[in-house]
Amino acid sequence: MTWFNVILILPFTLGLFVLLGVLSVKYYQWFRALNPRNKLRLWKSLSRKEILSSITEIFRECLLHLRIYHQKRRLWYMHMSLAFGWFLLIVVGHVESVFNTGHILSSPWKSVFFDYFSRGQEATGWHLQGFNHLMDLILLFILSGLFLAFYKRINSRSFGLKRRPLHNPHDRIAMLFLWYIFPMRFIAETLNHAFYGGGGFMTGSFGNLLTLPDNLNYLSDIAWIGYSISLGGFFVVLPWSRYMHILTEVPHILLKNAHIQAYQDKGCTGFNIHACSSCGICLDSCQMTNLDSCNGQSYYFIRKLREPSGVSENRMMNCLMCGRCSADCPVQVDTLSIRMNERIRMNDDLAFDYSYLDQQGKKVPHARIAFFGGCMTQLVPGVTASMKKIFDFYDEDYVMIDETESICCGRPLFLSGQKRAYFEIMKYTRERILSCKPDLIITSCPICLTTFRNHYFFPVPVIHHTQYLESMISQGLLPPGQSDIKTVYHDPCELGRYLGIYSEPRRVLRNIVQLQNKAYKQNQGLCCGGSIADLEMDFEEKRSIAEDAIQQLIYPDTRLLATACPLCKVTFATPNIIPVRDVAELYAESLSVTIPARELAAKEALMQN
Amino acid sequence: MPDFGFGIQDDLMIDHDRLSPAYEAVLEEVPSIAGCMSCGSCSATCVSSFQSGAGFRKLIMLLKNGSYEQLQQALDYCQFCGKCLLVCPRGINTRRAILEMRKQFKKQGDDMV
Repeated sequence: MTWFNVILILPFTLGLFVLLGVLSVKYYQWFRALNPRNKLRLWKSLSRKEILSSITEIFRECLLHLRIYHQKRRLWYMHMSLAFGWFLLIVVGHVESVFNTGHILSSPWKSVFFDYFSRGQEATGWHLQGFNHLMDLILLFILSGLFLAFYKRINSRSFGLKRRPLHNPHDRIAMLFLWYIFPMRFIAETLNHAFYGGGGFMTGSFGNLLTLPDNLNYLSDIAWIGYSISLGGFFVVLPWSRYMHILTEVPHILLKNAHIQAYQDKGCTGFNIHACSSCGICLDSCQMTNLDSCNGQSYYFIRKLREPSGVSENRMMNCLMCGRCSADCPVQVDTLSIRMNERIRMNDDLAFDYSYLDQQGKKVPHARIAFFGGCMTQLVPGVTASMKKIFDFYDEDYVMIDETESICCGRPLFLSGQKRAYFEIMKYTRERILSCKPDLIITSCPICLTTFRNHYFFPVPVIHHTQYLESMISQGLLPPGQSDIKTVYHDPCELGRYLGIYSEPRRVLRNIVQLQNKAYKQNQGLCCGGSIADLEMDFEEKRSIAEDAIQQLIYPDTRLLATACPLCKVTFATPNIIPVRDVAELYAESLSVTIPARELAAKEALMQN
Repeated sequence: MPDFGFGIQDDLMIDHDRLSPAYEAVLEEVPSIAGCMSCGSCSATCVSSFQSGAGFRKLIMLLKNGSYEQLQQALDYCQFCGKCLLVCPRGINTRRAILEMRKQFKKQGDDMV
């Protein structure tokens, strides 16, 4: 090996060694942070069947990026051409060198700089010429993606992104190196073929077009060194940039398929946040993106977590936790749980004292149905009154748990990170609800419902009031008085994205009003802006989000906005654009008679006889 | 000072020229608390004031006149439900202010009391 060859391969090889070294240290640290039980679980998940499904997902998502394909096609082509193209370049390049040298294992630089080492050799046989053309085709494929990446910096709207993600200095340097790699390879190969002949349909033809004197052949050497430097430079900055996702997506998928998620083990945060490619799709789906003063979007939150300075409190608390980012994320990073873990880390040790709840000690009288309105329902007394009317109509044995003395379910405490306080309050609320020994618990607040289903572990079923109303309709107990008011239903975040209750409220509304959005797409619901998870936004900003959501939801002839969450009702009423009603209120109004249903049925039966 | 014919209870007095350092610290983080006009909407709707007698209005009063001991006790009762936030006519970010107050106590601990 000549001294020039050493200079040529040195930047690339050094970069590769630095990358492998840093990567092993980082991965080892993150792996150590995992819960011991989850380490075992990860090991057990490496069975043949699961490994196969993981490999399929790695191929589909790390290389072909199929989840992006389903959302934004141009963005998908850009990501896919760079990822899959580079992968092909490495694999086909290696196969080419194997065909030429006859050795299956060779030094990595032999295949990376194959054209340099084989300069002047005639490509004999159709397969070697084929390789030249194939490699050119792959390079063209990557360059087309690179062109799109460059164009995206100028006009991100044409890629379906409302706002262009703003990168930090580390990412910019890494991006610069990445952008140099493939044009440098193109230039190096073109000059190589200009001086020494050969090449495929692209580099070969361009090489033939250049007529340069032979004494300038050092230009080709310089271009190869430039290629090596851009590769090495990229490898060195990669572990500190967003391009860490290229490699970290693989362990992220393995963890995900072993069911090790951030909500049960914060140790996997390291893998999760580095698997984020900062593609900007979440930034686009975040409703706060239109507000300049908001900076807590998951895109920036995750990026700040990767930086040594960490996340500021303002950024951490400025989030509606509506789950739109998490639902749209092509890498499936559990942004909500990661944020929750950070909030708990910051605020869990704050003082609290709920002993006064115990002093009440009042037992609720026994009833079959326990209705828990929650704090927010108390602010919309119409819902409570409607539910009472409905229960009376169906002659139910019910009790209102918190009609006079309200008690919180604790979710606002949990969302602010005060987990200890949350579990304390949960103890009292659970006791209060179960003191009436109910057979069924109904709540009109999706926030409470989420909490009840996630942490309360009630021995009896807990349902939302829309589910109860739907069950009444399906039993044929309602004499539906259908009005012709054109209504749009809004899916509350907790009810839709968190709990997957989409069809029940729609089925109820179809029977009582003219529902305009009968069809729905899961996870596409809009947040009202009033979310209790956000602690930073002021009144005006929340109203602006509510206004924006209403404008997106309603049609020109819509007369009413129906929702199934008391908080959404209050928030949507603020901009004063359209009347907002709860499903329960509409249902109660549709009941044309006031005598209980059982008596009505008995009378009807009597008349028929 | 002219005699108005009634006395002033020292521990309920708020000197607007010399507000407590804790109030200044919270004000810096949550500027909207300056808008509190003690209307009492928050206390009327508060989940815990029914049982403990503490509402957001009272917290602000205690914070302003530096009654830290009483304030800390009243703060501990807050269930963080956010009803005060929704009824406040001045749009004060009450939950953020309460969180900030709790943090101030955690940070300064016994020094303040």
